[in-house]
Amino acid sequence: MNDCPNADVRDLLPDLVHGRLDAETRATVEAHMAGCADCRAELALLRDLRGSLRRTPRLDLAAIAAAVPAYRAPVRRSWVGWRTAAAITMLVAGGSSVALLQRNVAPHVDSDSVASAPVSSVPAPVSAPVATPSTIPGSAPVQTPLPEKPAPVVSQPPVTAAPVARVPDSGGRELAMGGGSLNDFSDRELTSLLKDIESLDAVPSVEVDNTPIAPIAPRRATP
Amino acid sequence: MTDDAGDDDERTDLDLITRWKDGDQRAATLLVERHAGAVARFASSVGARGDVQDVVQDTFVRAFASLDSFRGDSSLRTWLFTIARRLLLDLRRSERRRGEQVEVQDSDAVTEYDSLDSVVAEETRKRMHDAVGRLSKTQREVFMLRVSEGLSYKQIAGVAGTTEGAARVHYHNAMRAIKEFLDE
Repeated sequence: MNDCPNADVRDLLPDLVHGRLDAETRATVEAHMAGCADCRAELALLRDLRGSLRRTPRLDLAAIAAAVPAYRAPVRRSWVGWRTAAAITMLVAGGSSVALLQRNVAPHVDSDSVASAPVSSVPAPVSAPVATPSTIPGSAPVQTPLPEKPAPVVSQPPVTAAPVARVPDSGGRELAMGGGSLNDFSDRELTSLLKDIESLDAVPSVEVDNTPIAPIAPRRATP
Repeated sequence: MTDDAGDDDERTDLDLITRWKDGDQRAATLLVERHAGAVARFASSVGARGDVQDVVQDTFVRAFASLDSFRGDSSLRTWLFTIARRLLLDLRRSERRRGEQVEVQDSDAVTEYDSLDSVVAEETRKRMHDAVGRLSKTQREVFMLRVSEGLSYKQIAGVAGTTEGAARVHYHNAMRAIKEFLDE
């Protein structure tokens, strides 16, 4: 079986088999085939192949249809939603960093010597310079002043007594967030940063309704 | 060049999709009935064997779950072929990782012409299957889509992840190889 040199017509033969040619193109192809034995043979072969190859595997259509879920409209995430997620992620990441660093600076205490060591000789861990909420009802207000400049490195006095605790050097006490340090910020900068975060729509906030309330008219006694 | 019978089919599919989104689950059944056979034939031609039912079912479940992303740029059937093809690739990849070999089960297939098949016709059919079976995987995939399903080269390129020109070359090479095999 030879190939017809007219590749354009041969390209259209499968479309002719499937009845997908418009009337004009179909007439052109059929006119060509009237004088081309190779194309007629190829068309016959294509029809045989299509008939032979269209063996449909056994299927349980009811099971397939039953597996199709009911339609659920997609939930569209708004811009505010993304900002909420971003803000929460930022806060959680920052909080996690603080917690991890605080844990890292906790003194490692030798269990065998801690009982005999005087408690007062253990240097108190330096509290993290984080603004502590001072308005918790029922609790004493605690103010931890934030230094304008990074805190100077205070060298630890050499511990010559029993090895009560190993305190990491002062470099480990800094609170690092995102490659910087909270100590790098001044009070004003930190306040500004917090205001920026609060100004995002994403952060849920309580707004006070300042709308004046109309006075309630006194009821008149019914006779 | 081609008539608009395919356009009518696509309009029907889009109507059925709209009905399904409106809560008519029978529309989903009609869509399955319209396309499951073609998806199964395609899946068989590109390597699905005993797992055709699972592949077709997973194809429809995935397709319906993401019908909102179907924009109608291609026909629904072409889109289903694309999903089935990806599923099969994933399946074969995981089988290779597990080192599994799946036996060919030709008995899973049944033809609508079974009752009319004579011994001669069966022999002819077998010879044609052998001819197609000798093609490379890509040639067989392109040839089946073109001859068995009547897809255009553009549609085939979309399903097989290739270009129209490459699809045309694969088709003509496949046709030449089949002719040579049958002439032997």
